[in-house]
Amino acid sequence: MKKHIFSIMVLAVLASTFAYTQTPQKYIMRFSSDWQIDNELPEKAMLISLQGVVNGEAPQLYFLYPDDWDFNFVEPLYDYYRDTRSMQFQELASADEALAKLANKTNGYVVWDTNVRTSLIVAFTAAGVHQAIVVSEDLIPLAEQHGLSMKEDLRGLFAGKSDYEIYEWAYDKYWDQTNHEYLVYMGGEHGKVMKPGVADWGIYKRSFFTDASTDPADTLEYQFANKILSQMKPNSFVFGWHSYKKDKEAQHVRLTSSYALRVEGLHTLPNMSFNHQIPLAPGFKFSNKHNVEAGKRYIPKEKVYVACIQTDCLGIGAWTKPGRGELPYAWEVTMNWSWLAPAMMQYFYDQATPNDYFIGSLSGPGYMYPRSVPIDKLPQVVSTAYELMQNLDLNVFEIMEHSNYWESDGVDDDLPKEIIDVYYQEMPDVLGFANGYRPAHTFTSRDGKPFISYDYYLGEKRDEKEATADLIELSNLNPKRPYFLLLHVRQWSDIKRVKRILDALPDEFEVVPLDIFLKMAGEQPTFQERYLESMN
Amino acid sequence: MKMHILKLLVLLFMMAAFAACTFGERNVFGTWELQPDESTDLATWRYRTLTLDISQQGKQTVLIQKWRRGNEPFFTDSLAFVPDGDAIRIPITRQHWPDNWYMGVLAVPGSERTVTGEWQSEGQAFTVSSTQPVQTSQGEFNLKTTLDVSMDKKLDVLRISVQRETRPTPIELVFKRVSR
Repeated sequence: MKKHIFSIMVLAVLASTFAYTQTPQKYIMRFSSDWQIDNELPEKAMLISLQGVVNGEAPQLYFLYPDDWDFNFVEPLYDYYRDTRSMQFQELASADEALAKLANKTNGYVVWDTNVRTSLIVAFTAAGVHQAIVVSEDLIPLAEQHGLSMKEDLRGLFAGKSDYEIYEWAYDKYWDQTNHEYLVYMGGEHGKVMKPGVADWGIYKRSFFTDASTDPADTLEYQFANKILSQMKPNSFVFGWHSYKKDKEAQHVRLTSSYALRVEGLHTLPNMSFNHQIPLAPGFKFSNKHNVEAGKRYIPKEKVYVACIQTDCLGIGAWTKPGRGELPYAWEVTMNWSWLAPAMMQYFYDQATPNDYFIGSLSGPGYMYPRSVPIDKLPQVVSTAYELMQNLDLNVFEIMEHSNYWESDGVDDDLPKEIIDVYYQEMPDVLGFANGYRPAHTFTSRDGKPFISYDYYLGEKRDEKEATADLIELSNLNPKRPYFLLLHVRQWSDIKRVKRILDALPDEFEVVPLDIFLKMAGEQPTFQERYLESMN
Repeated sequence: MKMHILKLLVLLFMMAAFAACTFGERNVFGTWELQPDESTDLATWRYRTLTLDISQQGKQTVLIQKWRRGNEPFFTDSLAFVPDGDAIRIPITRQHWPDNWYMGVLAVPGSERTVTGEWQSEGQAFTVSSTQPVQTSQGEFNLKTTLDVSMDKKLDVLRISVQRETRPTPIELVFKRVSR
């Protein structure tokens, strides 16, 4: 019997390997750091649109982004695919070669107007609708040389028009033909630069693209943003990122949250049309590096306990930087990657050292602000997040709240009791909650499960000696022992730097894994219970 | 010979008078701008800048910290003292505790900051001490802070050493004069 099972397992592995090798040829291509409209953006936009279309057939095209790209795991993930999935890639040296190999899998091209930057955003929508590539005028000959014909021509259409007018035009023409579960905000950099790393995904999903302002002061664009967000299906996604020119992150997430939609950043999120299709290894289950033993009590001593959490998504921080594993560290997991890009998520779990502990985030099943989510929708939102946590073997959840960030700059990370009640109710088996981004001031503990806000924000530029002095001062301002000091590490600080800061602390301090920190805090919560009194 | 000595004495007197007038103007009063590169890292939150107005208003010496974000005023914090006089009580109206934006510390609206101070060198250097309750994760804490303010006359530079009894090291701030 055992022999049979073994044979079946071997066959399954062989079959999956065979399946990979039977998919079409895979290609990689390297991108430089030039994303200027007047330079390399047109060609890169064309290639990313090509990626979105051809990966619709099968995962075929993967880009290696430059070292300064937000998501710094692109090349390590490529290595991971080759090492663990037996993938073989052929490198493409030029756009001409890419089109020679792959243009026949597209339906044509859409021309955007290099004089009107927003026309490229509209062109991405059109590319998804037509399953075509986007080209500037200069690239038309290249596209036609490879047998492609024009599907749309946006040249001259938008001259002198406002973004609001352009997006209304695009809405009238394309909205009904686009996917209402995946909206793409093609924001981020502005002016002469665009970094449309997520465009392949939007084209793959036939999404509507925009960067309409979510600042209420931009009356028309704000109305437009409300119109399209209100027409998204429940529980849908807003991929990409807000425009750094038009509005603020907090305005963007506040508005999307008000429709209970989930933000999945950033505009630079790369290769998702490829990553989406790479499954978990057969038999793989997400398994977190827990430190807490079931049934054991963790009694704190008269000490200052420090736990570190790196925020801002797994892929844009210190994961690939020096020092990981040298210090107990909690990592904010982008939970939807478990099904949006399963093998990519597995890559992080496979690499985790015993000191790398994953936690669920961020406020919901995606990036949301709970104070902005309609209160009648919040239980479902939290419950969906909890399902993702269970699949990922996570038992700590992190909440971030900046609904009024631009109005209250400095003190806006807190939550009222009625919202915290929902988290406790819908996430019954968590060890506890972390809250904030900047230091926050909401604290409670129920049945040994603490809700703790960050007491310190470790900015990447903070002088190391002063950071150590800050932590010592906090321990003096909070004189009871044990003192539980939750530390938010911005993603740009690598762990070696954090270790230098923590190593300089007196013996009274002890850095512990987050799950043990929460268990001890639940045993003896020395913080004072505090809620946001009013949401106004 | 006597005439020469007399001329020399007159000249010396004029130089001394000129220097006295000049130094007389060079006092701490005026507007100063923080020089972050020469100061202890203040952990300002995103693009904030700090200017300091020091003035004499009646018997009170008044320090007003003005935090700006770009060109927008963001937060104003004031201290005042009467040398050798009673402590001045300043109402706290906002939760912001601007001394360090990265620490989980809030001011307590509705409370008061108690301020005393004295000149160490009239017009040139003074010490100001304050106490105020702050909110931390474990509750309220009565925080005492001392500022030693002195002027470097040659360079028209103001130096402030901030000592909080809870902090192991002082915070050294350097300001340059913007206006008198």
